[in-house]
Amino acid sequence: MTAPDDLLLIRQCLEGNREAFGDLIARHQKAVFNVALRMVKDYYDAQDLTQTVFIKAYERLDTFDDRHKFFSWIYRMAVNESLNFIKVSRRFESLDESAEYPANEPTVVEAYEQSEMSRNIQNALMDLAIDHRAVIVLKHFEELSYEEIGYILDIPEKTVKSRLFTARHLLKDIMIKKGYAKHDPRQIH
Amino acid sequence: MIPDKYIELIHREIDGLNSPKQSAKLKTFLAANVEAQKLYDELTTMSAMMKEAKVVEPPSHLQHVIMNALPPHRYPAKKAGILAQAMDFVESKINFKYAYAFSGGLALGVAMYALVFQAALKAPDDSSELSGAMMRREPVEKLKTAHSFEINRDGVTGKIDLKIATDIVAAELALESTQPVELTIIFDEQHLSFKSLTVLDESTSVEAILIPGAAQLTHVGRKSYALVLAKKDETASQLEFKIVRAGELLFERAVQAAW
Repeated sequence: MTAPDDLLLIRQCLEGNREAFGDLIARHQKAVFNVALRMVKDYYDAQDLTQTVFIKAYERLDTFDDRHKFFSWIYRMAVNESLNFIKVSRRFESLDESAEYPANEPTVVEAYEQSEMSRNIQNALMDLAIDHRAVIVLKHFEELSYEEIGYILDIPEKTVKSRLFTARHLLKDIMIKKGYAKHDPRQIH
Repeated sequence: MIPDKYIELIHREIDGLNSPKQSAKLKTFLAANVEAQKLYDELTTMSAMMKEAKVVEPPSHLQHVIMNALPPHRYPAKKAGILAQAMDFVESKINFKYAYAFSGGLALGVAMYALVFQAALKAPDDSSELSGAMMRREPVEKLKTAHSFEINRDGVTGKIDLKIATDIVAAELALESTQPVELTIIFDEQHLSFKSLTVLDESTSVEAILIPGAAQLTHVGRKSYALVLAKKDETASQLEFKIVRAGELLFERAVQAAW
């Protein structure tokens, strides 16, 4: 079930209080932004995706089913938007493979880049297939349950589990291959 | 080879789903199986790394940008109780086609009157053929330059002129920069309100972010901008100009919007 305050804000918004939607954005934008960023890697693309997700959520707010949590609903949109974005941008990947960050990056991006561990994980994530990447992001970065992930990705819980297990093995292999993680658990790069 | 049921137990242990009994069973198995212990270590290391990975803050203006982009009338405000019912009743009884017909007739009448009596509407000493409410008789008050300063810092050059009239404050900015820079103009909302921000030498509109008390834009190349603010009162308030590139403050100047 949706947290009572999210539901209240949704109700207020549907009654014409736009500011209530502002509160929903304030509450969930960080999570949506980070899901998008983990999926697409680019700071500005994540920013655009977050904007798209919230605008779509606002337009479809009257279709929201309160048997689900609002954040699951909006995560679902964030993942779907990110997947669509990746599919579309893949067509242009060969044209400009180096364009991850523009020349002037905001301070936050620099900080993000400076964190070697974050960068290593992000690079390894980008080598995963998007279905595997999505399940890792939702489980390990957003710490969602199998059930929530199942709803967001529209797959049965059983599939979530098997996909997650496979994704973990693949990610581990990528990280070892790239030299980001060694066998000793204390050696975290 | 690790049996599937232990692989599942390893994953469940990482997800914190094992019961104490299952955890103990796994521990015993790992102690006796080097390959399984290695897999467990690798997966837990990776899991810990992801847990420690930084959460990135979205840009501070994102919420404002989203709010500005929302469709304006998606969910109209509901009318209050009895009044709403009364209005609904009245609205259901009025046939609006008569109102439209009346309005249309009135508009046509005004237009006809204006055509027929055009000569009479002309201003007596006006030789420009302009007439009616659009004519402005008083001379427009000229803006006077109150402050002018130049910028020359790390590849960013230009000039800022702050001009003031009785009702408005205008900042004209001519900037040149090879790399993108963030330009922010901060003003005191108590005494000034935003009117417009335009690119002076281009037909394109400027994409500015407006947050309460500030206007922000990304500048690159050679462009001139005009920011117009309306004075809310006579108080001389402060304006602040900031230029930032990749997090580094290149230029900062605060001036009084007064002569």
